Amino acid sequence: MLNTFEKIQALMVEIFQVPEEKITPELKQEDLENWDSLQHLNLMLALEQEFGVTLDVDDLNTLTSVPAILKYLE
Amino acid sequence: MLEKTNKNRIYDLNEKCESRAEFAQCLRTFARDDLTLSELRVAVKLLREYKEHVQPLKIAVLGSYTTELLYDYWIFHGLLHGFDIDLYFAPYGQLVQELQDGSNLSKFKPDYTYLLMQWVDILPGLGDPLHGMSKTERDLLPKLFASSLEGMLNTAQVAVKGSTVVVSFLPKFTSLGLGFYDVMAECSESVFFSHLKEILSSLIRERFPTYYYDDGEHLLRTLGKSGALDQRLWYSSRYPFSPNGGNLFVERLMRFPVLERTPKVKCIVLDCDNTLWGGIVGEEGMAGISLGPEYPGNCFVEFQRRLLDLLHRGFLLAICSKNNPHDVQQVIREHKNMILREDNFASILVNWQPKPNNLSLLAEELRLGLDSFLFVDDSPYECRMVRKVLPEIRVVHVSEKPLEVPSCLDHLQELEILSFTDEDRKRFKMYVQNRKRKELAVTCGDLSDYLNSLKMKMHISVNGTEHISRLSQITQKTNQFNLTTKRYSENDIRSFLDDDNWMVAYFSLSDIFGDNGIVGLMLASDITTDTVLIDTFLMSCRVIGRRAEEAFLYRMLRVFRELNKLKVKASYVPTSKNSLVEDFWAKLRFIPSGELQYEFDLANLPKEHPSLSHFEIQIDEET
Repeated sequence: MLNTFEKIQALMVEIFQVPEEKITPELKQEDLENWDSLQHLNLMLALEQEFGVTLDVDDLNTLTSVPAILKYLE
Repeated sequence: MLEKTNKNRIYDLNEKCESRAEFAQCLRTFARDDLTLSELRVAVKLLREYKEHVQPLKIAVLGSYTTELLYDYWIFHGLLHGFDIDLYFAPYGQLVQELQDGSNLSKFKPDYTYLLMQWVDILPGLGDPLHGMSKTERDLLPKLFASSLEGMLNTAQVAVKGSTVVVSFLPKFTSLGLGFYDVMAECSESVFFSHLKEILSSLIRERFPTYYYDDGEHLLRTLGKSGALDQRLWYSSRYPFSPNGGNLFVERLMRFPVLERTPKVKCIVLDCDNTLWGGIVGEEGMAGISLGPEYPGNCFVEFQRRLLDLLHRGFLLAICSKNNPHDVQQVIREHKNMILREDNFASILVNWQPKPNNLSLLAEELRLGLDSFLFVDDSPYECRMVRKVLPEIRVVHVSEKPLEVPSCLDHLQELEILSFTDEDRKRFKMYVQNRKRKELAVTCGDLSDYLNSLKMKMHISVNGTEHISRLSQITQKTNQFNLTTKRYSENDIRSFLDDDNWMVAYFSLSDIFGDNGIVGLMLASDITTDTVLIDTFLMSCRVIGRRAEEAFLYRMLRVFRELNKLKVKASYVPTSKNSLVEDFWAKLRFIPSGELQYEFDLANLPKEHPSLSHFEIQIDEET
């Protein structure tokens, strides 16, 4: 079984179309060019579907780094 | 933590399929419930791995709201139907700028252009409370709306010349201005918008016949407001859809290219047991099957009603069933709760032959391609067999749960239509009549007896001006019985009618089974000289085999003779489809006068021709 980080990593690889090693546990939105505002929404929708959560509108603006996402999911 | 996604189900499904068409068909049943974005991307990847041909399609999307998030859905729904889509998203909110000649949009040269808007984009006044306006102000809005939209579509005709344009308006997020009372109010918002849509659709039908309007409201009907739309994304990012909403929205918009550019379904071929009725008639007898007012019989009655809708929408129905012919015939004729009767079926094939054999026979009998069939059966075995042996046929597997039967054809894009005419409504009648003619031919044996028993009436019209659009249509559509295959527009036909040097002669044919309408046409030029030239001679394949072409030609030769003409010249222009008539002129005693050229000396015209005896001929000549 994949752990939570690995699942997020897999999603980000798929959505941002980047190699796996680019997605580190410390990654922030501003560090990755492909993580633009549009793909950010795709990521948020994917998180909801993959983890069965419902994000609040404010979460959409704050879950802008891997640590923040991990913290939210845990 | 809950794990909802299961990409493996997509991989598993793909394992079981042998062609992209088969995989796509299976996926489409999935795509209706919640296919997650990850699953959808896996499906796209797998669909691309098939080596079957994909056709390129250029789609431009212009939105007054965020539309780029729909990207994956476009690619997915395109591949499901064999399209490799090249997508162009106009910059957000640049609708007006992009619709100028010379814009990036115009350079992209899209095949389809989608204008995804809100009502207020066309007319800001539509955002104000309608019940705050006077009746005069309110009544003015639809006219202003129509003229503003017309202006926009006029610019589109220049900027994206040749592209099909589809207009769609987003349903409103907010509730009705008068709330609960709206339905009762004289200034009802719902009534106002129904009226506005009516004006919009007639504007497009009449002024822009190759453009379409799609009603975004369907999303709310299918998924509900909270299921289709996402408030969070709308207010934070101006993107209106939930994942399911976006998926369904694009599926609808893709129907336009799918219906225009992929083979059309023309005939729905149905199994009987557990499809048209519940149970197995061969085992339980007519009294034992489920078909009536109680559950589960009412599900099958309802399904038959849906089929009747489709029949009048223009699709043919046929039966292909493994049964004793007598059992099926008895139910169709005598069961009091059958909705569909013999007269609704273009063909009824009941025997114990493998279904693919029967389907091939059916294609020949109805003169339709196999790719125009939709096969509907409850047996997974039969469905699989048809998919394997005749992959061009689309297959619907009917659920074993009666509750799911009535709606089993509801979501099929293939059964949607893009226009509706009287001809569509009545199409099946012609096929049913043909079936009966064939049945009579079997009992008659001798062709001449058979033709006489039909009591055929031929009505010839010379230079009649009432059916110009039908005449143009048959020059466009007739391929097999067509000597020169020249295609003419309505304007061409009109100019022949106005020209003394031309003659436009056509005939309609009726018999004891009904009227076939206008089925034959002859266009002749050089009418003012001694030698008439037959430019076009064609007949609809509906009436082949009844010597109508011979009778029509000989009757017309007599007309020429009466006009004191000396000779008639004709030619045969071979195409890939008209070898049926390569000997036509020679058989009718025309003399070869050059390569594929023939002529007939009217001095040799016999008084009678054997074909003429089968018809009661009436001829109307306009002077």
